[in-house]
Amino acid sequence: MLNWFHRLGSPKIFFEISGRWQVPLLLLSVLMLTGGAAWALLFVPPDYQQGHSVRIMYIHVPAAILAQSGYVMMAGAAAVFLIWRIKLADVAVKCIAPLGASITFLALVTGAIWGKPTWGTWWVWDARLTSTLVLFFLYIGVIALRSAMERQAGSR
Amino acid sequence: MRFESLSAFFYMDGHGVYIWAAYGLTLVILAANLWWPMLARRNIIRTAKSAMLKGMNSQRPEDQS
Repeated sequence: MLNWFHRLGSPKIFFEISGRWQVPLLLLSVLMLTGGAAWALLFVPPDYQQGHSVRIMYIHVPAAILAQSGYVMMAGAAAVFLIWRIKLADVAVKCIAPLGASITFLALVTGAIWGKPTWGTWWVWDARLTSTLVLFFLYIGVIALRSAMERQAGSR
Repeated sequence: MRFESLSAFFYMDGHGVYIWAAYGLTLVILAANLWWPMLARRNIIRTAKSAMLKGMNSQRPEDQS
C-alpha cells in the first residue's frame, strides 16, 4: 500500500496515470455538470421565499464548498511537501492555487448576484462573506508569492 | 418542466437577469480553468523544445574544435 503510494508520487508514473484518466473524467464531469444545470434550471420548483433566484444556489453552494476544500487540500499538499519532500505535492499546490482563486471568485460573485434580489443588496460585511473575501486574498497571496519565488529562482 | 414558454424560461419572474448572469459567469470560469492549463502546457513544451535546440547548437562548435 505504502509502496503503491510512493509509486504514485513519482512524477513519471503520475503523468502516465493522469494522462490516461484525463479524458474519461473530463467527459464524466461534462455529463454531470450539464445534467445538474438542466435539473437546476428546468425542473426545480421556485423557492417559497427566494422565488426563481434559488437556482443560483445550485452553483453558489458547490462553488463555496470547493473554495474552502481547495484551501484545505492545498494546506495538506504543502504539509506533505514540507515533511516528505514529495515533489508532486508541490505541483499540486501550484495547480490548486489558481483553481481555488477562480472558484472563490465565482462563489463571491454568484453570492452577490443572489443577494441582490433576495436581500436587496449586493454585499454585507458579515462574517461568512468577509471570511470568504479573506480566503480569496489568501489564494491571491499564494499565487503572488509563488510567482515571485519562481522569478527569483529563474534569474539566478 | 417548470416553464410554460421559452420567454418565461428566460424571464423567470424578473430574476432571469441574475440567474443567467450567474450561470454565464460559471461557464466562463470553468472554460478558463480548462483553457489556461492547455495554454500553459503548450508554452512549456515550446520553451523546452527551443532550449533543447539551443543546447544542440551550442554543442556543435565544441565538437568541431
